[in-house]
Amino acid sequence: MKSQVRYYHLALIIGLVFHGTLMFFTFEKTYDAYVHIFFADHYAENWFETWNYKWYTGFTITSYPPLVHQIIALLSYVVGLKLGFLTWGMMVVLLFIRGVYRFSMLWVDQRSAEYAALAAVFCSSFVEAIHVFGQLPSMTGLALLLNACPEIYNWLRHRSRIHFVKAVLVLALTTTAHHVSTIFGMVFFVFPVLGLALIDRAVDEKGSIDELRVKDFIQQVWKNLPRIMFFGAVSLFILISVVFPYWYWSKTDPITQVSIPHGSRDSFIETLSSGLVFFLIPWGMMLFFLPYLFKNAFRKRNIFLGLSLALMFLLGTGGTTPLPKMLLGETAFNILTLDRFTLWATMLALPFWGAFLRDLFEGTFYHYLKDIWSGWVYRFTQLLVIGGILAFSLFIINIGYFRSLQPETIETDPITNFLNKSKHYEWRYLTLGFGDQMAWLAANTQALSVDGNYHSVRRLPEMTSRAVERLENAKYQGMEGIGALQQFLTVPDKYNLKYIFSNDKFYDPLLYFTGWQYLQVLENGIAIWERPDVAPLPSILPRKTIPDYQKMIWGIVPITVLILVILMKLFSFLYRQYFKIEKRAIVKTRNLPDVWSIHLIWIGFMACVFVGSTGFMTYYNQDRISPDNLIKAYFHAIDYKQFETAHQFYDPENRKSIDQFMLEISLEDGILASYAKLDGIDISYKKGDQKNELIAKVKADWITALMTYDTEHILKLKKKGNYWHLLPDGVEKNIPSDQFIQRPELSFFNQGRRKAIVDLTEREDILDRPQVDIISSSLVRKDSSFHVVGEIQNIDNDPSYITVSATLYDENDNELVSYNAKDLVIHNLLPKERTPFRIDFESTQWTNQEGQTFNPAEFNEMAFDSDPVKFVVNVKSIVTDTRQYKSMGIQNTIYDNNKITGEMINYGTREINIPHLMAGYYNDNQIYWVDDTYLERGIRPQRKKPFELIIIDQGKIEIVALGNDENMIINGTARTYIENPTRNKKNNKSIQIFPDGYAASGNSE
Amino acid sequence: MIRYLYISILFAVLLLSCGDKEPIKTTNQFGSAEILFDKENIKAGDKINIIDVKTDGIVDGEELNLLVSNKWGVKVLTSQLKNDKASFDLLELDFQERGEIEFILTAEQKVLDRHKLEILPLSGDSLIESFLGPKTIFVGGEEKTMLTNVTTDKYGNPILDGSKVNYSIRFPGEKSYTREVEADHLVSFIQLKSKEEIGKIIIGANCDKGSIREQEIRVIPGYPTKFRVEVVEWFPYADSRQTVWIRTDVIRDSFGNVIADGTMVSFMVKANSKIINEYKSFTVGGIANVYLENPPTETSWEVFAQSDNENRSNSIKLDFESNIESIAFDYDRRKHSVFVGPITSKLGQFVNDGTEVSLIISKGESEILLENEALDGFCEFKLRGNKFVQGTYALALEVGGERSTKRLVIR
Repeated sequence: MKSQVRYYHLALIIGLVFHGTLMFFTFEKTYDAYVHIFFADHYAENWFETWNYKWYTGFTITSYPPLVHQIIALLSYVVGLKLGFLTWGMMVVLLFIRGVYRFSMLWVDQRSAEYAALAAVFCSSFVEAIHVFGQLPSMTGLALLLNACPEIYNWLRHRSRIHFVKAVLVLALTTTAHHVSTIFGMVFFVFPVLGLALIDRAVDEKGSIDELRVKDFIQQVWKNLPRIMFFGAVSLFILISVVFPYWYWSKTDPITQVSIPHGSRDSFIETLSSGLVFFLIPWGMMLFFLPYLFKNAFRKRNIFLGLSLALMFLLGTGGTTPLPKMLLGETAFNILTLDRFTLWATMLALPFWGAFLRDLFEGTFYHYLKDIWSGWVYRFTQLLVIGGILAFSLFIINIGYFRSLQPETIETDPITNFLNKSKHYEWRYLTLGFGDQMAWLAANTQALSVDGNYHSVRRLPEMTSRAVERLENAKYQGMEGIGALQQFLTVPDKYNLKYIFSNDKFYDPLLYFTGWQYLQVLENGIAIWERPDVAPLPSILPRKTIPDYQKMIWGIVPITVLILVILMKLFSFLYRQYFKIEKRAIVKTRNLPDVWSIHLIWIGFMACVFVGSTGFMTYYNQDRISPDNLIKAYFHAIDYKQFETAHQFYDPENRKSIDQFMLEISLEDGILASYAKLDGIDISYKKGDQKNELIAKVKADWITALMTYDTEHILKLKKKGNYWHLLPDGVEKNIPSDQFIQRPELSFFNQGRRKAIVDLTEREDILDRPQVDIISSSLVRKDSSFHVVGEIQNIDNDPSYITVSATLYDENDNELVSYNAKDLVIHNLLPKERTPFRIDFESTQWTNQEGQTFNPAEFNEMAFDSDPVKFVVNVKSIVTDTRQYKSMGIQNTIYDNNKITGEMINYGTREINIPHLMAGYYNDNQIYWVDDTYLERGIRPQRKKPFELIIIDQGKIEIVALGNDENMIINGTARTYIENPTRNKKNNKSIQIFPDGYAASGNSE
Repeated sequence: MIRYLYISILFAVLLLSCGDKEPIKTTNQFGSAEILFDKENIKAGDKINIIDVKTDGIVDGEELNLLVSNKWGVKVLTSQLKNDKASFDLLELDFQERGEIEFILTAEQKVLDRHKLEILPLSGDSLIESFLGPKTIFVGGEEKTMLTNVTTDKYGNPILDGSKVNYSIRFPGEKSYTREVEADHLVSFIQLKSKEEIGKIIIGANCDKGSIREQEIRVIPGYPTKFRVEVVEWFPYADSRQTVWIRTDVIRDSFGNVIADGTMVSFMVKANSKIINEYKSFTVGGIANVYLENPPTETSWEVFAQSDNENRSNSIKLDFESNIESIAFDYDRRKHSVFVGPITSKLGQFVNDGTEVSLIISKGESEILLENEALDGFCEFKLRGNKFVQGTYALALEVGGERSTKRLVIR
């Protein structure tokens, strides 16, 4: 017995050492670890409170089963949150290995079960779940479920009441950890176990498995049906009662959300990366032995497990075939993440994987290889298998080196210090580019965020109406994500959002042009952007409460069940020790013959496919092997700012030096140079001047935070030998006239509170709101959409930051919608400066109609029940000391019939990183439309860039209502009381262009 | 018989119930009392130790109540009558809050006497609560600002109407002066108009021991008035590279004050009666500067500035000569290219790098435009593709507004 169990104990030790050590280095880079730590932090602060204000304007934590979070919370009182997470993680590893061992004992002999336990340590799906995904609750649920299965088997096989109690308790514990594991576990794990127990009972009566017939099995089913039904009813009761508040929440507060895309639903043939992450990696080395696995799984005794395994194998293939969708139904298919089926399938396969390993090391396969082939073939096979298992595990653990899963670690202390300073926590904040570390920040501060990292509890319509997981990585969600983010940034006062912590320059243009102001950069490199003139959170925030008895259930039952399970296990252990009861193996060791040659052929075939496809892809994905590859690799390198790599694609014989190349790249900024993400390219070719030369016309699609761009590039390529190279283009010839420029500059500084106190700001420190005037405004209709346009002037002598909003009413004075001006306004105005504005009313109740995607280039108009006929426009202003850049102009403008062309010039001392031009259309001094364009490239000092504005057809604009003194409100006062001697001065132009731009260099001061 | 008996009994009950009620005791019948306190007002903070009461016709031992009523509510004190006298201890009561209180003497729910007492505020003390607005007004006297003070005593009571508050005011560039204002309806206030000079109006106020923090009103310049522009530096050749430096004089408001720093000024350039260039600028020390890029071709500019739609400066006329002195170009048969250069400028040197060069190649009705930039005075146009086969072509080269033509025969 001692030598027989050594592999199981060895597995426990290796598992603890291997995973326990590695988790210290990997957990912070996983997707979910910080989310679970955040939940644990909630319980640690207030155990019985079920409402959490920190995300999404508040959400209920009864939306996730609490056990794991509560355990981490309890551990955190001793060792802190992170160590608490790790401590429980190590426990889960041990539980899991134990669960695999005991589960395997049901299906294979004890020796094979020990091998299965060893294999479980390095099982690639388990490694992926722990070290890449960080899914601690679901792995806890799985581990507990595996431990519950033997109890269920023993109860039904031997009619043991004590095992029934054990099974029910462990199932209850599983539910409190991860209810989905219980729900699906009943189908995919428990039903096969029940079937197995009935088969074994039938075999007991028949004498041997070979004598067993279907009718014998059916008889057993009939005999045990009341028991099984009773077990089902108790399980259902347990499933509902132990996490009753969860069911209560999902029933009473259903959230209708657009389905969020997930890679596990992709076709793995079309999207190879999804296939790699959600299929190839989890199955790992088991793919090489699929025939063996399925053959053993479909033996008579194991038939139910085989069916379950086959079904989950199929469901785990996602959208590769239409079958999973047909089986699950459209709704379930779009809600569930299908990688869980692959994970569970690999768990069901583990017993047979263990059996294979036993056969390989000491069974019939061992003899086959040694006797039929030779010793070295046997050693080679051993090496291949062990090496493959270890290689897969190590590859998965280190996958972050090949493709970064998270941004670099962000130190949160500077951010929490900022939030605690000057009561900044009285407003909401948002993070951009933090990855899952946003949850760690949330756990370390009392401030509230408008975003969150648990999408099931999103309630804000701007998010639920879009397939956007969270705002903070909006750029990876395409234009849908950016569209959702834009709405929050345009109307931040709706949610008292004032601060943005940005770890990604990509969003800078959007932040600037929607009226956010760069505040400072913290010691950890995070930039803070602030939105002026936003009211703080009210002292009382709305919340949803649940009955006190549910709070008691939620707070007490999971830990109570845990204690009961521990006591039960302890009692069982002591009982067995005292009465010297040994566990009997259920399955005897049998060296069943097999056709190993077929398995060898399959292994050889898979090896050829693996090596062949790797070699094929490596060869044909070489960057220079074809013009297409070269151009794609070049643009990829430019997109990811890998400029040295991009430089290498040029012909070494006549390319520029790396210094020259880097210099030219860095010369000019612009929205495309620094703030864009490549979305796709389209290439066409024509012959070059010489043989082996091509001229490629590349159309590139770029996504920026503001809009999408299409650019066109002409590249020359030359083939030398087997490889293609880029030929260098010319240098920029135009040089400015002055080597050294001197310009007078403005500087403002707002002291804020002149006395260092934390109480209310003293009246003397509050500046008057600057006087601004609305020169004119109107409600217009263009095609079928409504807009409010107008012109504003800062008539004060202080620089002013303005927020412009408008509300539309129908003829019965019912309010229809309210919205802010986004980027079609200059938010920062110098004294006497004017700006046009246009407010577009965007829908936040966007529904995902088939084939429809959000595209800001096409306006997503608001659908009104009744047409707006009246409006009120509201302007608020406050004094700003933001450094503004105004040294620009337009020149050489030519007004054509349908377009205006010209150049935008920068005559100052700072680069205009993102130039922006607005055009106001006037008719008899009344502005009736505003349009705009962004230039793709930045404009350095004393340089210019061409622009083109398409003139709209005036006939398409219908003025619905004009603004008057009563419906134009300035700082809470009707315009009646504002005097502006220049208001009615005639503007003889029909179109006036207003240049503006974002100069990032001002951010460093 | 029984019927009559019932009627008799009922009649008797009726008679009995119609008996007189006990007479209601009235004050006159109860007795009278008088509060022996004749003060009509006291100062806030003063103590009242005891209030005595004298009664007449009230039984000894009767419990009397003295209600002390103010705007916050009523406090009830009790005392027992002895020998037609009673005393109420008021030592624990604070009379710090300005206003009227009433003493009401009662017994057995009957009001026996009343007496009103007014608590007067003390004189002003410590920090006066002040409200100033607007804190910024335009120069010129058309806008007003107002400082309102609520002078209080040490208990927070506004001082008496009629109390004098002294305001000290200093206008920019002037000596300070004081004005005495009487408090009225709890507050005192002063309204000020700006004068013609920008700067800070500093105001202080004090009353007895109370004073405010120094308040400031910023008097800001008015709207810009007419101003002039001048050329500081320019290069009179159309090279699309050098800059014209234009500057305004010191822009002032109608009172001669320099306008605020940062005031937006626009500079316009007109050519052929159309505005072709517009530049934003801002004032520093009242002066706005702008740097205009020279035009690319020979032209005449009219340059002016404006601070709003009609406040326009003088116009400056600038005539730019062509920067091109000579152009040379020829066709290279071997390379199938048109070589351009040297292109020289007025000062004899090669034109600036980046000078735009256009080559128009015409054959019959069709025309092809090729564009390039000069580098070191030269550039090359490669005649690619099938468009330039054998034939006769008309070449027109344009640089800096200058045009040169040639005939090209390709064999």
